[in-house]
Amino acid sequence: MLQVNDIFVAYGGTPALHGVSFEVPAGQIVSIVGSNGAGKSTILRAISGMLKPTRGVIEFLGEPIQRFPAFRIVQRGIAHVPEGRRLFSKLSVFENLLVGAYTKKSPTFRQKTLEQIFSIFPRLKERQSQRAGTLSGGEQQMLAIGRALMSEPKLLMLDEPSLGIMPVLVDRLFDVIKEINQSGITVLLVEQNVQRSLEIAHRAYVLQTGEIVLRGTGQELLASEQVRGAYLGL
Amino acid sequence: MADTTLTEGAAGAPARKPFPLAGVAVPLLALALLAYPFVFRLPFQHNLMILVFLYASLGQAWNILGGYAGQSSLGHAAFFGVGAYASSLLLVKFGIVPWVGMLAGGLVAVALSLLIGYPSFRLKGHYFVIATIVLAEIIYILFTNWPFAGGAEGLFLPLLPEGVVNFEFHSSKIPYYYIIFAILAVVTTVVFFVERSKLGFYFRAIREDPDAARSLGIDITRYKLIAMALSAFFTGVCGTFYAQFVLFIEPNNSLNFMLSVLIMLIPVFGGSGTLWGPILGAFILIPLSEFTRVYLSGAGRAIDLTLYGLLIMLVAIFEPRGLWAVVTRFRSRETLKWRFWKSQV
Repeated sequence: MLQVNDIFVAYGGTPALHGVSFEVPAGQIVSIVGSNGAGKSTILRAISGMLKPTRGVIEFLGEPIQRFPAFRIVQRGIAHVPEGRRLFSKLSVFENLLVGAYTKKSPTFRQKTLEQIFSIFPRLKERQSQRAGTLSGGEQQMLAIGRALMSEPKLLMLDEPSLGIMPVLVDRLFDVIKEINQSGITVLLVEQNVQRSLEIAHRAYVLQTGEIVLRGTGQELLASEQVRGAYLGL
Repeated sequence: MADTTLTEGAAGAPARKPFPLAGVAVPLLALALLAYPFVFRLPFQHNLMILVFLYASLGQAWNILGGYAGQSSLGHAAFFGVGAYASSLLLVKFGIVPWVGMLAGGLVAVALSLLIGYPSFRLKGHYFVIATIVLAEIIYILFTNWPFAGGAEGLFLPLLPEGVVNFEFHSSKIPYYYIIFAILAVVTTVVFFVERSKLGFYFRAIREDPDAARSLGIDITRYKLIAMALSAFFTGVCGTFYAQFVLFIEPNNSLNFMLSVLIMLIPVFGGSGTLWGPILGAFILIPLSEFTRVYLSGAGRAIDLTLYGLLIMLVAIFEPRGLWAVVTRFRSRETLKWRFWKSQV
């Protein structure tokens, strides 16, 4: 579904990704793990068009998208839940979701998606008229995911969804990610919670200082000495 | 219509709808303002309110871009000025009625705004503000040195027989009063609908977090341009009104930087990003400046700016969201009391 081929991204003059290649097959959960500053978020930002790679090709459903402006990429079916959630904190929960439905003009579809999202996150329905900024961290993350789902994406990219959420809710969050995937949406997940994200991943990549150093299925990486030593502290 | 159910979802949920502002207060206020010129008959009193309405309209126009879409402009005098010059040049050089000129003025302002907006919306925050100042200064210098438009000496508009068609009234200022009142009503109505439309959500989303809006698929440049064009159109229309009202324009009265500052100050003081903020701001700041000017004559000019500075500081300290936020705070407390009382009966 998504094919990233040898992309290079630099901030100013400083290179952040040098020749990263990987693929996300349709229907799977793919995790990219790595330490702080490895370039995980940069990959997602490059895919969603927030950053332009200086070299390389990003192909989505067979179409090169690396030169598209961000809004066109969303139209093609990629939704990005940015790190730190980035909600419109002064808008209500409902308004946040409505903004997420921007690319969907048909009101019937929008209503249907809204109901689906409320069935995944009943809390959001209860709180729909509340300002997004007054939600708890976990609820905010749910809203950020719900908002991204409003565009009915084929590929959902999540950047550090478990960051700043109380541990009890982290389990629930990973269940939700699985649930979303089972409903037919491909997921690209970037996480510092290596253990959990490898557990649910069909396929995973380890990123180190802008390069992919290890790849395999989630289980393979969980078993690998390198990952256990460097990221799981075992 | 699924769309209605969507909006009902929002309205049906427990919302805090305070005092019936729209139902009672607004019609009452509108009636009072319609009667005003016949209760207060002095030309000064008419002149005062005309200026209040003019600046309220300008503040409201600025509010669309600066308040709702969050793109603060300090160059709105450029739109005002080209609006004034467009209609005046059409009248002086080609004998075209100012009403047509008003539309032309608005459209020229829109064209200018798109020309300015497209490149400068790549800039964020302070850089955007600086770009608007610079571009407005360029327009100012161009008009000062453009002989066809009267250069630094400006343009005197011909004195024509008074009447609605000629947009000139000499014996009484009352017609101007109603015209600018109508303009204010139109801009405010537009803002009212924008605030409640999806357009309004997108503007606010862009103001809150442009990157997040972008990542949700909103073409933010396009929406900023829409906000800027709407804002510029009404600013240009006000420019034409001003030209017809004073019948003389020059770069210094219609394009200068202090005008840009005032256009921004009024909504920021009153409450930017709110429907009533710019109107409230104009109702306080304009009379303040007019009265100090009257009572202190020459010295007043500096005094009103000093007072502005003081008021802005007070607002910044006690309620940075502007004066309207103070009103709503009070209002929601009143509604709570009212609800409590109703629940007891």
